[in-house]
Amino acid sequence: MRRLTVLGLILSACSAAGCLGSGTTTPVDYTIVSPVTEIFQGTLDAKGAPFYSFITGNPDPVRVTLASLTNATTGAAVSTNVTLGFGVPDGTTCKTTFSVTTTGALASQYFQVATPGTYCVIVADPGTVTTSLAFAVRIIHS
Amino acid sequence: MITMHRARLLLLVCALTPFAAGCDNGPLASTTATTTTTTTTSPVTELFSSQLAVGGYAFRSITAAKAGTISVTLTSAGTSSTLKMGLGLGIPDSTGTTCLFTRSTETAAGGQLSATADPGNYCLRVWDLGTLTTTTPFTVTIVRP
Repeated sequence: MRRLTVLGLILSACSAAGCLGSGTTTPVDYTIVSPVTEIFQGTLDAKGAPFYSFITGNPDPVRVTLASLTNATTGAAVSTNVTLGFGVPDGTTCKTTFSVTTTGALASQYFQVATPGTYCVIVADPGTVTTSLAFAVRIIHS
Repeated sequence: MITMHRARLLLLVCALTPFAAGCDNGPLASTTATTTTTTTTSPVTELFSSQLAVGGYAFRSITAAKAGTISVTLTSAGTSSTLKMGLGLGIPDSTGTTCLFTRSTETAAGGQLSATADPGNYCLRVWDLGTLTTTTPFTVTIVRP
């Protein structure tokens, strides 16, 4: 009887330690542990395409939001559609792997789990810009 | 004296205890883990009341605890129903002192701005359009997720 009790305790400890050969795998946690928030601000003129490069240090989500688009003179928010792109720097431009035509919003337009590396976001005039626009892109990464 | 039956029972309890406690990441963990549901009231309504000086502005941070719609309404602007103020909703800049607008309007009491938002930090700004002649109170109603 005492042996049975001891056996029970051994089994209990063994299962707690994971030594029963369960063959489990640890799921990847894509939660950003220490997110960095960067704000890319600038002015978009007709036919313009300013871009901004940043470095990610961990394989975590990158969230890109064209959060503000205003008339550069009056400061009033505008609903002009512009191109927001995400990609990798390529010489003097940003070679995009994703792009969307959008206007300012508080919900991210782009989300991707990116491996550590150098990336870029670009704001470009798709032919809709007739006056200078001030923009702000919020980039959250780690 | 422990009987054979009680000893077997003790063996069974000892063997299964770690699984039942959800402290193992084995194959049974997902079926035995206890899920705690935290009920958070959402949306949340807040009031931002202050006074606007001549030529001045007011700034307020907004935190969205989860995704949803943020709306801001200029509930009152002085004692006049026609007095207009500037109202803007957006994100704070990198210094946290300027609100970069996603939406903005020039409105009297009743004017509203809204936008769907991710969880995060946002801001609103109220400013004098150049029409104030004296310090004027205002109230903005904020509804956030």
